Amino acid sequence: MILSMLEQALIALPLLLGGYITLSLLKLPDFSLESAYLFGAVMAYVAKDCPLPCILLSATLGGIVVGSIVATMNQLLKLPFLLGAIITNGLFHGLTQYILGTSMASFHPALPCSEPLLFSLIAVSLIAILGLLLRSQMGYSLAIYGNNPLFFQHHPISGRSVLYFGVMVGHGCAAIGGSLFAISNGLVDLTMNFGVILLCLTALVVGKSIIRTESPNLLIPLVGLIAYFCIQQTLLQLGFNLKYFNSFQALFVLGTLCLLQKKKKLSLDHLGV
Amino acid sequence: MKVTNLHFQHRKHAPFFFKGLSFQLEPGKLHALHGKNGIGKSVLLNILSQNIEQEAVITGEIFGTSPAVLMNQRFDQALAGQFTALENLAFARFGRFPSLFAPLRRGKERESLEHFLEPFHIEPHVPVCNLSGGQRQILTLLMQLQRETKVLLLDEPTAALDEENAILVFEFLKTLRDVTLLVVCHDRELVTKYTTGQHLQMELQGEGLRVIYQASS
Repeated sequence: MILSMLEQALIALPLLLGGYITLSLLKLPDFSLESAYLFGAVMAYVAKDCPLPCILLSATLGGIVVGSIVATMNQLLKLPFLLGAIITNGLFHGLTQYILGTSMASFHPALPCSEPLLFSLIAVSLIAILGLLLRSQMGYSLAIYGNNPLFFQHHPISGRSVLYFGVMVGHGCAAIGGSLFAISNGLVDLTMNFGVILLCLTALVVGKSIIRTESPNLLIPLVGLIAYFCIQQTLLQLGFNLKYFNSFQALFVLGTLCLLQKKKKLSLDHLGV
Repeated sequence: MKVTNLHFQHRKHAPFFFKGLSFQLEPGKLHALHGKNGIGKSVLLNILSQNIEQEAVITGEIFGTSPAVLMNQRFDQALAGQFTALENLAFARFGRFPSLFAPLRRGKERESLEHFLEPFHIEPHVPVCNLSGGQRQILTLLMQLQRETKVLLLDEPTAALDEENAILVFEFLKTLRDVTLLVVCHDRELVTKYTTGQHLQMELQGEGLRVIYQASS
């Protein structure tokens, strides 16, 4: 059970790291993470005959494209971020259908090592890279943007470049998560992205209620992810039907936020993370 | 900073807002700009800080060694409130594109930043949102000074502050001997006490034109 939980956590980790950047640091209503997750899987499928690094690169680029489109809608076309994300989701839903040609496609790329080892290596690499990034000036700039976007109007720092960078990195990570999920399941499914935002929110709310800091800190998504899968596995052991898990997550997020708000232990913003 | 024969229109065929405006600010001194509400003091400060709309028409000359920086009364917008004062000072040193590799601050830099805060009794490790209004205002000014600003334009810097905090801010401004300051403030007593340069008076003349002349305190 623990090994299965660990593998699931490793697959979800890149998605959660992406969610941490866009939802928690930048504090954006980033609904388009779902598109990046699916499009990453589709782009990995497109490159399925290539070596694994090319597959992962293709997935990452797919996510970055989704991120750059939603950021452009917000920054250049001046659309509210949520509206841009909804439009992006619509655009990419059609595009993924067109590329796949079917609602489900099998996918078995050649892997250089076992899946758990591969997922572990990817997780460690991502944590190392993002850990360094979040300690840099850019990492702090992402957190400043979430704390006070108007800050950049009063200082000669490009808020636009901070937003573009954060959204593209976040979506790139989510896309890697999508590709790992597809590799693990051996298929790309057009509905595989449903509910991934809720997973991010649940894990981040739990992580943030345990680790209280405004500074960028990767422990928040890591602790949140471990707690998330512990809760999920416990419910499974108790005989809970996982098809109702999304509803459970929604109620769990709602309950946690209400409780913390009541105790004034957490200042709620529009996303609560 | 010297302004000579400044003409300004909000749009191409709009009536002149300023016509032939000329004045000079002495280096390193605190100057006061007086005038009724809505007369155009903020417009002038925006022009001096080159913060004007694209369709505006501006002619004349503004001489100065470096661009003027404008701070308005919404100084909290220039702060990241949940971070500490020390972190905010470090943020103010970021370049236009924050580095992907440079850390927030190094050991020596941290000491030099703490040195900035000491004289104003601003706790370096306390979140900015827990500081007093006057301390937050001083912190925003200190952040601007991290970029070696030479001319600071302050649009009602004490409007949101009580008397004690307003005095704290003006005491701070008094210490800035290398910075030329132009302050809009409706507290005449406070301004008179701290102004070391000229008192400029903006008034409305016929045909909606604004004029500036040197006034007595």
